[in-house]
Amino acid sequence: MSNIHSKLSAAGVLVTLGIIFGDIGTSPLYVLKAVIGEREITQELVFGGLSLVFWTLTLQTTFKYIWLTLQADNHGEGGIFSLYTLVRRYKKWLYLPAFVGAGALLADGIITPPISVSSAIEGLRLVVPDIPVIPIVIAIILGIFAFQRLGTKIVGGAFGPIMLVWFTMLAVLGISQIMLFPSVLKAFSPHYAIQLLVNYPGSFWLLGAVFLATTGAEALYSDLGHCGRKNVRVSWVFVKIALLLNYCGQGAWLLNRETAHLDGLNPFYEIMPQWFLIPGIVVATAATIIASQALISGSFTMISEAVSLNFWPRVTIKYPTDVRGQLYVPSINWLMCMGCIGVVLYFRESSNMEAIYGFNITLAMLMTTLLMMYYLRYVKKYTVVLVAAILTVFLTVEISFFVANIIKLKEAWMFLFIVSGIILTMYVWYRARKILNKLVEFVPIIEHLPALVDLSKDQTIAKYATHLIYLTSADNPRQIERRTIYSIFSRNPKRADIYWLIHIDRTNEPYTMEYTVDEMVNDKIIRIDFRLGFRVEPRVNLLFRKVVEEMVANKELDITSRYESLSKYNLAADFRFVILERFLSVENEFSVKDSFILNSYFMLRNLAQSDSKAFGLDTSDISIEKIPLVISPATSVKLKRKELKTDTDK
Amino acid sequence: MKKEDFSREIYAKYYNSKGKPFEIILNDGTALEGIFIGFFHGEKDRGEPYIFMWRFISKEEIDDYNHSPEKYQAMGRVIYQKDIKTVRFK
Repeated sequence: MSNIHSKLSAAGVLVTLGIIFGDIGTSPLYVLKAVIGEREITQELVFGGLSLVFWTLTLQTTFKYIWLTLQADNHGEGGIFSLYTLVRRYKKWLYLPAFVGAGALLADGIITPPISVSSAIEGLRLVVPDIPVIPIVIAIILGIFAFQRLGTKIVGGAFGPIMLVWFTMLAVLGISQIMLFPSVLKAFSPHYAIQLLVNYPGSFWLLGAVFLATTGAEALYSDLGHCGRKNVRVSWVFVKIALLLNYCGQGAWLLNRETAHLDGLNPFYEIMPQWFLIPGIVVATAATIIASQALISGSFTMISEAVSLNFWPRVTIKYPTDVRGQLYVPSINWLMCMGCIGVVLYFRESSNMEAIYGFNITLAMLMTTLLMMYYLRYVKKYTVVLVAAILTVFLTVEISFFVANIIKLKEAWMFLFIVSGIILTMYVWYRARKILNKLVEFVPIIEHLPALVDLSKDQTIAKYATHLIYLTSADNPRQIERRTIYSIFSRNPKRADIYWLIHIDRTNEPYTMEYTVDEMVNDKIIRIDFRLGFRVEPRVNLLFRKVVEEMVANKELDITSRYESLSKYNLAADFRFVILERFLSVENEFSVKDSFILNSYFMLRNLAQSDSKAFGLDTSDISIEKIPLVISPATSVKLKRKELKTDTDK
Repeated sequence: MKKEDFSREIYAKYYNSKGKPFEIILNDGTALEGIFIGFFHGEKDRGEPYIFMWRFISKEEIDDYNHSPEKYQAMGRVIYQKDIKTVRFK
């Protein structure tokens, strides 16, 4: 299904500016400042730094993401999980790079808003030197997260025009300085970059700062579905020109300076005329808020996909507006908010945050490269030689950036914990589901159909429900879980007029919404198979109601109450869902690794959303039954009976 | 050539066996006669067979099983597909 903005149009380009380029577009706030740092300002450093920024943007953003990676869209959708679903059939371990990439991107969501907003607000010091930056940054961050629950339908329309103003401002400010030092444009020549890397002392570690120029590239791919490839590519031409003009303008200002060091100044603000500072800071602040918004929305989408792919515990997902793809995940929202505020309070200055920014993104980019190679080789059918050549180029570049960023781990160790925690959660959830799925016992449904029909007709048993609905994980319609049969027959026999079995199959396409109906026994046992894309929420109640409505309309089903008194008044029959919750019986014996995974899973499940809520059944009539998982009963029970001692023995 | 999944062959025969007992020879030479009353799917991603484990009850237990109030719970013994050498359906 394509988005309204997927076709190239002026409106599409404007929307793209607002959604896609916030992160990469706000990089001029801190990149050159980070490259220069406390080093002496020399022509070699400025030209070399600018050249590295230009070639990084060209190689990483233009070539890898805009040209290559955007080809890997899954029915118009991008992002690491979309890419994973395109290639997962080719190698079973590909979930691992997907986990690492997603974990790194989620952790990046904790650092991007603080560094962007702090960089913008710190500019106010040029106007009011004693202004309390930290409370203002925290207030803005709190505001951004507090407003997430309302969605961005109303204000979202302004994002594109604001970013258009932002990029125009970047270009104009840059040109104003380039005119004073036009030879700065020579920096585009790669030999300045090579010279710097070869001759400048400690030049390799400069790459950690240069890399900040391309940090938004991964987010650009994640938000592809909102804009469409053509709009992204056309917008990028404008964005890249604006960015380069601004970087060169900052470079020109640096080269025109008479002092040898930056002395804490930010070249981004220094190229602004004094009279423009306040409006410039206002636009910069708005741009950083938009950049943060894109990253937060991207994190919500990623978590929602992870839940659908069974990589993440089920969490509450809300839909604040009717705009497709707009989600709100309260738990992630507040966790990210706390993380962002923690970063602001701990690092206090954007220059300190630069020291930790970038590590996560290099990790995410490396993982995308790995998945991309499978995509190019197996989906696009590129030759092995071509794939190897592309892989060599990007691995060389990205591993260099990764190593240059490793030095940041000294400061960013807590992010390593966060990334590891996210990856471990995904791994535990994924593996535990696999282990548990293996422990689900199936039986041929045909063996139980006669008994089901007899039970349905048995007037001596009180009716449990007119329509009784079970969810089934059996892919094969001729099979059913033993626990379902157990629930129907052994646990308070459940007589119903019609038994429904609902099966949900997740597809590799993002927005599939199809179903089939199989009436296994006429007007007694009906199975519905839903095929839902990985971006579709499995709101079973809604989907089931829709199917029933269609069946009624097609005269395949009569839902009038079967009770005489109620049918007289044409009242609808009752529907009841039974949810079977598994718990691990103490009778099982598992390996140490599986025990750890399963115990962690059940612990996480206590924190996660219940099955009934996850399937949107919380407003329905439901019964929840706990069914033990007993597979491998403990065998080594060494219990010895001892003779009872009588009084005479004492 | 990709090896045939023996468990699929057993599953197809079991599905059509209509509850009649059959003979299983395990890799260690043990011969068993009885029926399968359930099965567990293997992990495709890990190259496991379609059915990786069966729940089995012996011929002598069938009558008890059919009349047991616990028949829909875990009964019998589990046999791993990898331990099965042959299955002879009658």
